[in-house]
Amino acid sequence: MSWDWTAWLGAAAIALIVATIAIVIWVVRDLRRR
Amino acid sequence: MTLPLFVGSLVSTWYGGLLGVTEIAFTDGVASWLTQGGFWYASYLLFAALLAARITRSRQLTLPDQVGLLHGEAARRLATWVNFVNVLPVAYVLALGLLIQLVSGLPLWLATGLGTAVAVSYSLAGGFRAVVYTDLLQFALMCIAVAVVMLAALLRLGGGGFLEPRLPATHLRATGALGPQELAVWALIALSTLIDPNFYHRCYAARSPRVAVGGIALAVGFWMLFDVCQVFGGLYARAALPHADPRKAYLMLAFDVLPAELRGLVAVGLLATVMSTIDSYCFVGAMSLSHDLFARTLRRRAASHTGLVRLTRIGIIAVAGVAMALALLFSGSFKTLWKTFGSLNTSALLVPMLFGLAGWTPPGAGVASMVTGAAVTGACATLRLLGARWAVSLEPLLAGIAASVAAYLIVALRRPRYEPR
Repeated sequence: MSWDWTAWLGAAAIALIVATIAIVIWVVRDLRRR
Repeated sequence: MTLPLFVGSLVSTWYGGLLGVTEIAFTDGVASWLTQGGFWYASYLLFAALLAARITRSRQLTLPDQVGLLHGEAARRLATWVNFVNVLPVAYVLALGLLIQLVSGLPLWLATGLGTAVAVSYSLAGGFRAVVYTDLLQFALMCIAVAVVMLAALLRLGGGGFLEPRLPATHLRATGALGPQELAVWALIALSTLIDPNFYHRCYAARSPRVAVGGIALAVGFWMLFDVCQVFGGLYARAALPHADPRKAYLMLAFDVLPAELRGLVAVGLLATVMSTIDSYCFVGAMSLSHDLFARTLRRRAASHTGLVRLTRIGIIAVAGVAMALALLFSGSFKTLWKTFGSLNTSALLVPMLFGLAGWTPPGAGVASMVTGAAVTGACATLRLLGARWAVSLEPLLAGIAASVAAYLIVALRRPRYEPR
């Protein structure tokens, strides 16, 4: 069995970084509005 | 709490168990994604669908309050104690100690003490607000740290071609080497989300039911990404450092694959992960002392708000102290610790809570089922420890849940008539 999951793992890691940055920006904007 | 704050705070609180999950991935393989991931997503979504909106509306501050509302005062008192034991952050304090020890070389007791003191100090200074705001910062650090470790491992070590020949065959099977009983136990422990005090506390603080439900759904998305990085981080650790201490292997891997400049970032991220959980658990534990035990049980209703705040502060120190003592006494694995505490808690609270939320609350049944469930689980776990042959092949939690259901039904059906609450 040889399947290369490298691409999926890398995509998950990058998605996690992007999602984290997105939510931090979202929170900061939310706090500023108040 | 608004939606962004709700998501940030919930996600980071729930995942203090980083070193625990990577330990389980190290020993069990991909199956840990099921036992520490899949089962949990299902129960989070169940919580969102069934409970979140209800809790936000019910205005019951804590889990024992909710139990009391369903099953009466005696059940509330029992739940207070179960809840208190459950929120002791023993595994997390231990993780923090190991982490600081690895980075600094200090003896474990000193590392644990210093780390806990820092986590406690800002909870003391700022209360729940500080916990929520620090959670957000820690959340960002934590996610970026595990993602960076994953990417570094991929780039430095390679993908499937590196892992497959170096891992035991069962490590890449969905259920690994786990039997049906062990899988069932983890599924039941995951259902303890339905009785998790942190979930209750966050839902109560949510601005509206919509925020609570939507926030949980979003958080599940984050958790999935986070879990991929954790589980495969554990697998990389197993493949690269097969003889390392499973508890520390992930950290050692992180330091091995990362360039020196990034090690600091990751160390801070991992510290943040564990601390955000310790501070929340200390806070919930202290609340259970000040709100549930002191104000309610001891009926000190006259206690002023300032008095309760002071008590909560003393409670935070007490909870952290007890957790630290237990963490230093404890020498097993995170897995054992989680399974033991999780089993006791779940067997006591899950059945009465589910029946109660379904609207069936015969008097006395809640208390009977809590006591029986915890007692049977505790007894089986003790017998197992002592090596009784039949007990070794039986998961204590399964016996406890069965006994808890039986007790509930017996008490409920023995009374021919009862007044609905």
